[in-house]
Formats: sequence, structure tokens, C-alpha cells
Amino acid sequence: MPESFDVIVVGGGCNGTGIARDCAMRGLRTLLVEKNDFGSGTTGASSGMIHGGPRYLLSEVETTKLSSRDAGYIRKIAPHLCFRIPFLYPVVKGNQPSWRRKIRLALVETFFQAYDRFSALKGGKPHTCLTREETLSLEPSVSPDIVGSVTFDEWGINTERLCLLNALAVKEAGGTALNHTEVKRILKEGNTVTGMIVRDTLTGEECEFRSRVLFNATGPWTPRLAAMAGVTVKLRPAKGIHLVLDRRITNYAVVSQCIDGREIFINPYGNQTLLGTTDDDFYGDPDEIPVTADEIEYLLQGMERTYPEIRKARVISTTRGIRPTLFGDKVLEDDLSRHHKIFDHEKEEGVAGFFSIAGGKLAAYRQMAEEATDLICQKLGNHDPCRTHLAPLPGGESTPEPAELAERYQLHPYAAERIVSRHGSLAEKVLQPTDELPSDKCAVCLCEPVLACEIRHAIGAESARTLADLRRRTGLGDGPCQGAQCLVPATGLLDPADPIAELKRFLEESWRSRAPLFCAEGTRSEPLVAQEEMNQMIFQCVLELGSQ
Amino acid sequence: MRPRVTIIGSGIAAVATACEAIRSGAEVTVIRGRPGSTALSSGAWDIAGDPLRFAGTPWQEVRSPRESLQELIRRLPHHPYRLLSLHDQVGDLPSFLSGAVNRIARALDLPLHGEIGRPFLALTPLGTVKVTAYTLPTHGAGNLLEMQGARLMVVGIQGLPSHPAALIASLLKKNRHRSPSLSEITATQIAPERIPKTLSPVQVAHSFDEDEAIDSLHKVLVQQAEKVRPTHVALPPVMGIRQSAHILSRLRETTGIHWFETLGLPPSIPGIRLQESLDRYFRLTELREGTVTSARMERKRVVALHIRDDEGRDEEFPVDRVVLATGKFLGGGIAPGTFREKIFNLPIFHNGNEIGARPVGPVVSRHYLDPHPLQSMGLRVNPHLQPVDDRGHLLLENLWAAGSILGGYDAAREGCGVGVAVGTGTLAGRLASERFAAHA
Repeated sequence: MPESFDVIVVGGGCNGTGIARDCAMRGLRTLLVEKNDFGSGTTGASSGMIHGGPRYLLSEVETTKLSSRDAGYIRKIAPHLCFRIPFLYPVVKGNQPSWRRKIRLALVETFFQAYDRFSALKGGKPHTCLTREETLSLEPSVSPDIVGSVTFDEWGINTERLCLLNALAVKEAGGTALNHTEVKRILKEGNTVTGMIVRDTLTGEECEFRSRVLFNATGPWTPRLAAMAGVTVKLRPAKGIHLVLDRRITNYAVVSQCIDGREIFINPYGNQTLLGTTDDDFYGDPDEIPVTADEIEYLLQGMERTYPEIRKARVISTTRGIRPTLFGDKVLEDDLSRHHKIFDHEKEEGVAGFFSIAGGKLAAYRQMAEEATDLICQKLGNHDPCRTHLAPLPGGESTPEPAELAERYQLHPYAAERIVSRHGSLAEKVLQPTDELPSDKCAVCLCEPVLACEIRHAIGAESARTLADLRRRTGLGDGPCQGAQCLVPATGLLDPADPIAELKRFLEESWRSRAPLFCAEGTRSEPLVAQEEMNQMIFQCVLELGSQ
Repeated sequence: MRPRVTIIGSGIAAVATACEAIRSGAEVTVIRGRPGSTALSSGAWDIAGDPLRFAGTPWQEVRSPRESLQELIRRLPHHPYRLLSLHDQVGDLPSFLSGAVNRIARALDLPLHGEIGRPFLALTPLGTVKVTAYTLPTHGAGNLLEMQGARLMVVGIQGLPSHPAALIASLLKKNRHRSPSLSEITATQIAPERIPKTLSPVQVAHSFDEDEAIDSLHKVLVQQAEKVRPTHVALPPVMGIRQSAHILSRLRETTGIHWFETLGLPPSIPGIRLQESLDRYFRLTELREGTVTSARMERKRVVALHIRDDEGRDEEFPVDRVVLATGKFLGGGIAPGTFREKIFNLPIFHNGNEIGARPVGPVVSRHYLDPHPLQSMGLRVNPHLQPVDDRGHLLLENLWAAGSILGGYDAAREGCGVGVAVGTGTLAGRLASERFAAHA
């Protein structure tokens, strides 16, 4: 007999993991499956912010309100994953007359005055208005050609771990969460979806699961899974890319305007800085998202007018994702609604037991999951209330003091700080085994840094099965050396069935986000190309992976 | 008057040039900037990898560097080896290369292991096997082709994850069908005292330059060897920086076993050791420290180089003949933004076509392990190793080029980095020193 669940959620992004957690916490027998890894799709490729969406204040005030309120909840349930990002919104002089510049600054300030009402919902500080001199003393790299700037507050979040923690919470609540498990076929009896056949993408093993409800939360893959169930979901998918810059080149996020008037920004993120994002209609395969030299130059040029120093920064990688935006006709990508919609395919097409979700924003993922779970519970006759905004995510109970951990375990304070930022109250659990095995305090990845004990924890307690899973959980191999130092030791710790194939798969995947940088003159920097020559020496010349 | 040869660069190609120029009676000046790819060497000295080798090739059937050389020349029309093989000063290329390698090894006081007529199969810190020609002394006992009936023990050090002994042993076992010679493979972890707690390979290697740490390491290793009774032991490539030869020979004397290091992954300790021997050699030549930023040219001749030292002071240095051995991107020879050579603004080529700042085709491939034009682009030179333009016309009459700044080959894929550096360096050194050099 195949294993049977109340609900199966397909998709390991913020929506899927959020819905599965909510279902499991309300006592439903829950299974979550993800074909790659938790947070490896759209969520992991986002700007990494639960921002309130001031952008939507003028057109969709509900989106702003929802995002701001839910961001406040997320900060409470996963405080260790979140970090404050103060934003600078400089008003560039450009070639407009002086009376117009002054009005522009006043307008921007008025706008953020209105945003203050929502910002408070997520614990952000109210805006301030800075003169040109004040702005430049805070952030000297901003162009001197400005009238002044307005500040406001947003929150960054480690999105990959957010999805992982939700998946781990499913397990804590008695459910099952499987990564690297893809749906091969959806099973139907008449017009009712009854289960599915899945395949483990690493071992090739197939297996059947039954459920009363099957929830499609696969983001840009939503139409594809819907088609497997014989229904349709129409999206207007849009591509967004980011450039990943080595180091925090600024302590403030800085907003700038692109040639088409769109707003982009740089934001400090962990050890790095992100520059993004683009928003372009996408017609291709969400498994193969190309990044073009034009997109790269668009971002660099757009940022350059407010932050000229961007040209000197070392770009080390790109991220790319597809927004599963709701379908809209005859509007520009940027003006598409960020509303979300839950599709009950029984109502719309007469196929029972199957639901889809699309649209929405990361910041409101929990709220969306709550709505989806309410609907599932209504179908299944469950009356438990939602508690996802109250119960902390794993590690979110408290945030230990990094200095104390560093002292207790004799670690570099920065390494301790990074562990706390990833594991919160579970940091102690990650480090405790080193009392027995002190040599596990050694750094495997020197860029981030990542210690051997954390890798073991990711493998043992966080279902990391591939090198890329380790990267998403710890940041291993994501720094400027792009795995040159850490891949061999990490392969040793992971001990995969076929180490050579696993290494090759990782190199191929990380190459896809790096290769575009070599095609654009603006990112083909000396350190990038020199590092690549060295990595070729390692993987091609010494390890001879090409002839293995 | 003796010809005056100025060499820009401080890697293997520069040493080869200097050795040959001195041998030819020239007065040699070396301008040393920052270390390049030689300092990242794994400890293997490649001449030519086997281009016909595939995943299942049995070890005994891997071609020797001598045979592989011919194959590379046959397949790759722009390869510097082809230029060398056609030059009347070179004669038989394999003999030319092995002669030059041996002379350089003597000059550097490095007893290399290996020979041109036989492949050296070296163990990597992943457990794969690399085909090369020569290795530095500490890897010398590690040719897998010479381990008939051997019992091999792979050693890991606790807290040094860069040498995963269990993984190395298991991969090697998996490939045992390709090498019936190894009779037993085991892995072991040791925990020597007196090494730093949080480790990087460089810190560990430095710690093994101290007598007490060496003694403790020696004791642990000998104990372990007595337990397992191997005939060969693969050690992590961290056995001291200055003391490595001493550590290994003492182990050999105490136990009678063959001890060797696996290859280092860049940035590797064997590379640091190699760069140190190169630097010792350069101290015997006339040495200038600094980066050459630009050059003064008069009527197709280089007349002076502008050198900037560490403190940012600029100096004009008059030159007679110049050999450019500044490397590709790691060494800093080529500017990747514009794809031009940095000092003389020479054009860069791939497959005989000049590349500009906006290349027409992609400079990298879609798949990581496929060949990338980026890795094989470089200067185009005439048969005398002098840079030429897109029509084949000589650019500067008293300039020669050697090493990885040359285009037409991919050192990483073809396993020929040191061979090209030594071969072109030697020929460039000889030609630049001729009293009546072709164009100088």
C-alpha cells in the first residue's frame, strides 16, 4: 500500500514550504516534495528581502500593507535569519532645473512619510531626510551629483534557509519533507486527484504517494504541474537577475534609477552585496534561465549614475529566477500586479483535490500560506487555527551572543557570528560535537567561512544531499574563489555515492551563474578571470575531471 | 659587447629564459613583479598529457609524454609546440625539452623525478590520477605505475579537511581495475601534536618546519606505518615548506618505506616551495623588483621599460633585448577587459583570429569542462617567438615572448604548462642572446 497523506504540497520555495509547515502544524498528515532543493528556485534567487514594497504604495496599497505586516511576523519567528538594511534613496541632480530637483526631493520625502505608517508594522524606523553633505558623509561612494536623500528601513533575510527552516518545521510537526524528489505523474480517479508518483532525482528510485489534497506551489513550474493534472494556470512569468558582488561594498542599500526609469538597488547581504533586479517577460524553460551581457550592463549602468564606485566592484556571480506573476495583458512587466491567487481547480475546471497558488511576494509568503491552508482545512474539515505567525521556526527561539560562543568554543568571532546568523538558538547544537572532535572546528570554506562541524550538521540534520545543498545551507563555495578551496574537502565530508559525478554537477551548476560574467566587458574583471584560470588548473589540470 | 637580455616575469618561463640566456653568454636582468601561476603549481611538471586518454584507459596504456607531444602537435595547428618542433635550433622536441628541464632542475637544485619516455601517474588529493611527466622531489616515490604489488596507505591529518584520506582511498579502489598492480589500499587519520588548532594547509606546513613538530609527526607516522605495514604511504602535501626533503628522507631511512606527498591543489604548498627555489635562483641574477607598467618604443624597437616598485616609485629602465614572460591572466600579462597585452598593448589572438574588447564569439563555453577560448588565447608569434600582428607582421624587433602569455594552447586541458614554458623560454633565451639576433 502506498503511503497516504492528508495533503501533499509540491514545491520547496517559500510558498510550498510555508503551506506545508502550516498544514503540519494544524495536525494534517503532510508531505512536502521538491524536485531540486528547498529554496533553490525563485525564492533563492530573490533580493533576499522581506521588504514592505513601498513601490506598490501608489497602485496596490493592500500589497504594501500585507507585506509590511507579514514581514513583522517573519522577523519574530526567525529573528536570526533577518538583518536590518537601512536604505538610502538619493535624488540625483541630473540635468533638471533646480526648482524641480527640490520638488523631487520633497515628493520622495512625502512618499516615505506615507510609507512610515506601514514600515512601523515590521519594526522599521521612520524615514529621515538627509542633505547632500549628510548623505555623502554616511556613504562617500554615492555620487556627489545629488540634491539629498531620504532614508527608510527594510529587512534582509536568508531566503534559502527560510525555506529550509519551514521544511524542517514540517518534520518537527510530524510531517515529511523530501528534497530532490520530482513528480513523475499525477494520479487521478475520475475527476479527482488522488496522489502521485515521484522519483528521487539522485537515486532514480520511484515511489507512489496518496493524498486527499494535492497542492501545486511550484512557482514558475505551476503551469507545468497543473497540466499534469489536466488543468491550466496562466502566468505572465518574468525573469529577474542579480549580480553578486564580493564583500559588503556598502553598509546601506542604495536605490538608483535605470535608463527606463525602473528602480534598482544594491543591498549588503551577508558577506556580499547584491545588485538587482531586472524584470523582463520570460518565455523559456524555468530550468534553463540565461543571463545576457545586456542585462548585466543594464544593471551596472543603472546603478552607476547614483553609485559610480559600482564599476570598481568585483562581480563574482549572478542569480537568476522567474517570478510566477499572475497573467496580465497589455501591461509592462514592472506594472504587473503583485497580488496572489489561489486556484481551486474543482471550482474552475471540475478537478477535485487539486489546488495551485501563484503571484504574491516573499514578504507575504506566510500570510499566503495561511490563506491556502485555511482553504485546505475547510475542504478537509479541520478547524485548528493558524499558529505560524506565533511559533518560532527552528532556531528562532532566541539568538545567542556570538562573542560568548566564540569564547566558549575558541572560534574566530566572525565565524561564530556567521554560525549564529544561520542557526540562531541551534548554533550550540552545531558546535557541541566539537567538544568530542575539536578538529571539526577547522574551516572548510575560507571565504564565508564555514566550519567542518556545520557541514556535518547540514548533512545529518538538514537533509543536505549534494554539494549545492551545502552551498545553500552554509554559503560554502559561494565566495570569490567559487569552490576552489572547499570543494574537495566538502566532497570528503559529504561522501556521495559518486564523488566525481557530484563534483562535476556542482561545477556545472555554479558555472551557469558565472559564465555570463565573462561575456560582458563590465564584469570581466582581472580577479574574476585570474580566478578562473586557477580553477581550471585545479579541476581540469590537476584533478583531471575532464578525463574521469 | 655581450647582448643584454631583460626578462619580464618570475615564473618557470622566466627561469628557462634566464638559464639559456646565461648559458649563451648574455647579460641577464630579471624584473620580478608578483608571483603568477608557477607559485600555484601542484608539484607536477607537465610536458604533455595524453590527449587520447578517456575515463576507462588502463594506467599501463597511458601514453608517455614523448608520444603525447607528437599527438598534440598533430592535432593543434596553433600550438607553441608546433613552432618549436619546426625551429632549426630545436631538433627533436622531446629531447630538447627533457634536456632543458634537466638543466633547469640542476640550476634550481631540484632533483626532479620522471622521464620524457614514461608517464608519471600522480595521486591527487581527491583520489583521481593525474598524468604528468616530472614531479618535484616530495612526490617522487608516488608514481602509481611503479607500485607493483604495493600496499598503499593514504594518510589524513585530523583538522586538515583538504586531504580527505578516506575519499582518496575509496576512489582509488574504485579504479583498481585500471591498475592491477596495487594489492592493498588503506586510509588512516593521524593527529600529530603541536600543530595549530584551526588550520589552513599553509599554517600546517609552516608548523612542520619546526623541529619539535617534525619529531612528533615522525613518531606518529612511524607508529602508524608499523601498525599497517604498507610499502608506500601517500601524505598530505603539507610536509613543511623548507624541511620537506628532510622530513621525507628521514621517514624513508627509519622505515624503509616509500613516502610521498599527493599533488597540491593551488594555492598549494608544493607551489610555494617551487616559487621559493625560483626566487633563490633569481637572487643569483641581476634582479629588479617591480611591475613593468609600460614601455618606450622607438621605430619598432623597445628602448626602455617603466618599472613601478612597491612604494609606487617609477623608474625608466633602458633595455637592449626583452623577453616577455608575464603569463596570462593569473600572472597579469593580459588585460581581460580589453583583451590586450598589458605592457606593449600587443593584440591577443584565439585560433589565429584577433580578439577585441567585444569578441564576436563567446569567450567561454556552455559547459564547464569543455574547452574555453579564454584559456587558450594569447599572443601570436612568428617561428622565432616574436609577437606579430593579424597579418603576421613583426611588431617589435627586439621583443620575444615565452610561457603562458602565448596563445594556441590550453595548459590545463592539454597538460603542457611547464613544457611550453620551458621550451619557449629556452628558445627565446637562446634567440634573444644571439649576437646578431634575427631582427635585433
